[in-house]
Amino acid sequence: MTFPILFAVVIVGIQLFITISGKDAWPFSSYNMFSAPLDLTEFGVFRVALERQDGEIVWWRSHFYRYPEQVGKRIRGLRQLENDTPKTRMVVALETRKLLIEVARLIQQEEGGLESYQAFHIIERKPGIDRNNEIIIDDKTVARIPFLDLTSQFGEPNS
Amino acid sequence: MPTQLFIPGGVNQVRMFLILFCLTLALQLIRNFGDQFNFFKTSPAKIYGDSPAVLGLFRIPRISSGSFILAGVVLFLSLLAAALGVIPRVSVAVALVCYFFYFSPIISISYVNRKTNLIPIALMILLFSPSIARPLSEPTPEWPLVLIKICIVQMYLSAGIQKLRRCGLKWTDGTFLRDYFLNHYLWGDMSAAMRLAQNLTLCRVLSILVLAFELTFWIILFVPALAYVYVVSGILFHLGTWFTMRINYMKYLMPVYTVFIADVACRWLVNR
Repeated sequence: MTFPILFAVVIVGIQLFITISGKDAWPFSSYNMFSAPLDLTEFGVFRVALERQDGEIVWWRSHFYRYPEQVGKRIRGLRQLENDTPKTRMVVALETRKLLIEVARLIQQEEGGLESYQAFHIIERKPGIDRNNEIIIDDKTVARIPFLDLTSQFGEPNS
Repeated sequence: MPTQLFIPGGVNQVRMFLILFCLTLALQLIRNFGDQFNFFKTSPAKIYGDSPAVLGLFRIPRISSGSFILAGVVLFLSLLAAALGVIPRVSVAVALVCYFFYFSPIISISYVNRKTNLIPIALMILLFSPSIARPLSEPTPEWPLVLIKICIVQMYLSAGIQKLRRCGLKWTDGTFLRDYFLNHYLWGDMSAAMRLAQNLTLCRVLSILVLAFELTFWIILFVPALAYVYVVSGILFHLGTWFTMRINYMKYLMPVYTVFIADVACRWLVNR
């Protein structure tokens, strides 16, 4: 009977430690999702949109729908870094570019090519409250990056 | 706590759980393999970074497409073998190792990240359970199943405690949940989330219900009669997050949730 008790103590001990510390040690987790407050008013959500050849702008959507969220989070992180020094601006621009090259790679993998698009748009979405106490969304394009600027690094689309 | 915790009694619920757990997990593997292989091919590490290390200590090496397929196939076959009683302890051990190789490269996929965490823990508990190779009618101690239930309890209890730790009871005022709904609408266009976000009173009610559910789930350990009430509430809770935010816990939580029907299923089979 000693082994089961020791084994149970170890498993419960790890779970207790993880819960109290609030840390994760895969596969043990403190499941801290939805616990931190979100400040959507100071920095909104950033999304990548695509400008088609005819000028229409559509959201980038992936079958693996968390990709756009993850890219948006990283863009948000970069934007929060941004200040007026030329060095930071350059780092933010380069990192954003690197990220968009990966987005282009994913679009190419999922859609088979990039020919139907001509530019990326980075759009900041901020929620607000209108006079009727309804939530309204304010979308603002903060950057437009033509595909031609990226393809030199990314390589030609496989058309 | 029942007297059969460490002293053999009743029927072999542990073996029954092993069968239900392995079969439902194997089914999920088959159903999702294509999707998961496609995700693997997108090189998720380039966007999400490296997968987490096991226990924060051991990093799983990056594997090729061929190795990923092999890990998936061996995981599936070992689960099937364990369920059918073919050298069950070895099969469970192989499944445990394969879990880490198969899921590590795709851990960032939405329905895998955190949602499969209980699988290796359940496999580890089964690995050290004395009764997994014995007949269903044989009386066995229940501690492995109680341990698995404790792991499920930890998942909900910890989620509730982290909310209280970071926000206190203010988390129930509805604004936190509203912001999460809104956030999901903003990046993912989930209209159901937006509809809920528009109604602060409903967000407040849902916040209270969610926190109450998470912080009281442990009751099932002491009042087994309430287990089905909590299991149904849990399923409704996860279906709610799926429909409003596309957060799908059920896919990989269902195999572990079969622990709650192991007793009934085992008695039914034995009494046939």
